[in-house]
Amino acid sequence: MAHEDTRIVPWLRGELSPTDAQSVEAHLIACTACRATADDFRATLARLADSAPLAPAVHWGRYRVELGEKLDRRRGIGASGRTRWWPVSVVMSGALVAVLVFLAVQDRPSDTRSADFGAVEETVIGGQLDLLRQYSLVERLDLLEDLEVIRNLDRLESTRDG
Amino acid sequence: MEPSDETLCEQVAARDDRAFDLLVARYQERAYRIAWSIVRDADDARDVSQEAFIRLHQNAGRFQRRARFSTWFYRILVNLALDHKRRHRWWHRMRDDGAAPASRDLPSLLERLPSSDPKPDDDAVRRQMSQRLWNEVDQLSPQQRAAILLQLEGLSTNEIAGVLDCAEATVRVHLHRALGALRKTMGAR
Repeated sequence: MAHEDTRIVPWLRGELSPTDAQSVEAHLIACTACRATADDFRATLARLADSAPLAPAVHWGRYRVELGEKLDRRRGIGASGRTRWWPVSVVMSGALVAVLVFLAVQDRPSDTRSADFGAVEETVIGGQLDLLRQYSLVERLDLLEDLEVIRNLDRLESTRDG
Repeated sequence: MEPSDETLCEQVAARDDRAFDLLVARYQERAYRIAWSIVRDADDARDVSQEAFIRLHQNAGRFQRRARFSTWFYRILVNLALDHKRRHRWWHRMRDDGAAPASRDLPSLLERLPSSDPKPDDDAVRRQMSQRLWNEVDQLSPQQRAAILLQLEGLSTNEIAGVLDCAEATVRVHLHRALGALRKTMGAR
């Protein structure tokens, strides 16, 4: 006859279905070893329940205050972490964007850049159209020459002629 | 009508601090008691149970209604307590070794004092027996000890299985073996 190894505790706790409970009870009537086990388990469970050591008393108000502080600290680590990293990440992102823009401008095809600067040059030089008639003289001038000099080229020319 | 634990947990997930306070109020005593019954140190039990509430606050969004809230929360709590016990075993062993003579096995001074009870011998024997029994509970494997403590808390075998994350049949084996070991301490047949 197989002993009831693992159904005794559920039977003692009233967790078995009526059919299983009847089956265990029938076995306990016939098997003295299992009956003794069931009696001992019942006594042990009762003793455990009666004698469970009491946990030391707790001041629940203080307990909740402590819990709140711990929770705030835990949130605080996250929050201050976010506070600490947020501006850094924004600055880093800004710097990255600036670098990318700079590189993009630097890497743009030179003809585009010259087109932009060319437009400015055309505007400046547009007022000096008369000078273009003396282009052979203009092309000899250093491009970095002061516009004032360029503006007075006529006088230079007349001085040379004179 | 009072909101259920499960509803409160969902509200905690939606960052409702009032719901969290209500859950703490409902579970603080049980959480502390279970933690203490495993770690057996008041300060540690307070820390462990508070940590369980913090985990609850952080992970409430992961709770699913497939299980009861209590099962889910006890699983967090028991895992923390068992983990704490494992990590601090060496410290408790050192402390116990250095403690006053065999405090685990001898009755305390209070227990040895004459009692005014009409049947002092019976009571003394009963107290001594209970102390031995609970010392024996401490010697059980962590899973067996947790199963015994949780069934004392009134959890069904099915709920204990949920807390310990194992099959119901495994819990039955844990309980049977644990009671088998404790039965010897009781001086049984």
